[in-house]
This record gives sequence, structure tokens and C-alpha cells, in this order.
Amino acid sequence: MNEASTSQGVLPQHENNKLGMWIFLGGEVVFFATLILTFIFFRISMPDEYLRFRQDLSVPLIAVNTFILIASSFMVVRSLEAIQQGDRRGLRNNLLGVILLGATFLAGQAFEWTTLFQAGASLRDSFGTPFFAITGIHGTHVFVGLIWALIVLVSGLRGAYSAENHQGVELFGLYWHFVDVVWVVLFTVFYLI
Amino acid sequence: MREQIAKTEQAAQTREKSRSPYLAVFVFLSVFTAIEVGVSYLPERVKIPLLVLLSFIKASLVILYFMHLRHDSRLYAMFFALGLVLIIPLLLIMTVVMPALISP
Repeated sequence: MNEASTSQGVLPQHENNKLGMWIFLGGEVVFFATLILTFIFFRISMPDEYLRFRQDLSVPLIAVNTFILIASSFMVVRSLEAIQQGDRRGLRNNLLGVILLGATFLAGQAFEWTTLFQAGASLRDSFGTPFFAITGIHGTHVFVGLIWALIVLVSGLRGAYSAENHQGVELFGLYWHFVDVVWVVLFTVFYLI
Repeated sequence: MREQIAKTEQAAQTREKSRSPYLAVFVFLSVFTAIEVGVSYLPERVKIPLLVLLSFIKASLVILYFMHLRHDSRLYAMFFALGLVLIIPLLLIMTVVMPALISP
């Protein structure tokens, strides 16, 4: 893509990739917002049943999990900052941290689900259905993010990224931060309000 | 001369690092999360607006700084915000149409 086409309003290839990622994230906003609004509607319609369901949710455990996801987002942005400065070791170390923290988040969620099932929660409950569906879909996004992080890590180790070429890390970062933003909202809606 | 350039570049990088907002954003996000947990024990009419506000601030910090939307093209922000605009019809259906259908 040459400069002339850029000045005519056509984005260069690497900007197109980023725009594509933002359009995808816009679609994800619609997807998660629909799920969350549905949950809020159920909650307003059946306040007593929700309070019974909420008794078994562990706010301290999920607060720690939230902190873990925020810390992983911080490490993602640090990995991008590192490769922008040509620091491949920084990229590797931060991505390893992201994978470790992301896996810990999923382990925390698995522990929470196990505890809830032992306490009698079910996928067929009025609130079990939306709770497990929405947190499950979010967890799946984290899992996909972990695989993506692994791919970025391996590509980084093979020297695919440099100070000049690091869009692969940036696109992964956008996805991971979005998953973090969704959790910020879910944490408030499910556990705190 | 070459040493001088290298030193200048190193100093610029150090300045860039010290200006980096990421650590400050991370600290804010962590502190706000702790505050949210504390606020969740307040009475409902107090906690709901506070928690919505704190959640909005946290999400905005991640989007503006970690996702760089503050400095990136507005085109990206537009497509991201379009998702939120598309939600408005659903919100209207849930808050206006469905309650009217459910109520006897």
C-alpha cells in the first residue's frame, strides 16, 4: 500500500488488520452486552431467587481472580512495550507471566464452579443458567486468549517480532484487554451489585 | 559522536519509560477493585450507583490506556462504540416492551 492510496483514505495493510480487530471487538461488545442485559432483566424480575443464588458466590475469591486478570492485562501491555523497544527477553518474560496468570484465573473459576455445584447450584436453575453460561463463555474467551498468547510467545521466540514489526503482539493485546474489560463488568454485575 | 547519540537515545528511552502510564493505571485498577469490594457491603441504593461508576472508570482506563484508544485513530473508537449503540434497541425492548407484555 503506497502513500498515495493512504492519503486517499485507504488504510495501509497493518492498519486494516487493526481496524478488523476493532470491528470484531465491536461485535463482541454486542454479544456480551446482550447476555449481560438478559441477566440483569432476569435479576430485576426475580430478586428473591437471585439473592438465594448469590449467597453461595465467594466475593473474596473472585476479587483475587479479578486482580489476577488485571495483572495479566498489565503484563500484556508491558510485553508490547518491551518489543516496541526491541527487548525480546522482556516480551518473552511478560508473555510467560500472562500465560501463568491467565491459567491461574481459569483455575480459580474452575474452583468456584466446583464449590457452587457442591453447594447445590445447577445449570437448570433460574440463575444457574445465565451465570454459568456467561461466565463459561467468558472463560472460553480467556482459554482462547491463552492459546493465542502461546502462539505469540512461540512466534516471539522464533524472532517473528521486533521493534519495527510487533503488530501480532498488539492485536493479541487488544483481544486480551477486551476480555479483561468484560470481566470488570461481570464482576460488578454478578458479584457486587 | 556515536556514543553521544547512544546516550541521547538511552536517555529518551528512560524518559519514555518513566512517562509510561501503565503502572499507574494498573495501581488504579487494583485500588478501585479493592474499593468496589468494600462498597459492595453498603446499602443497595448507595452501592449501585457507586459500583456502576467505579466499573465504568475501570473499563475506561483499560480501553483508553491499555488498548491505546486515547491516542489511536478515532475510527477504531467509532467501530467499538457502534457495538454499544446497537445495544440501545435491545435495552428499549427489555425495559419498555417486555415489562408491558409480562404485566397483566
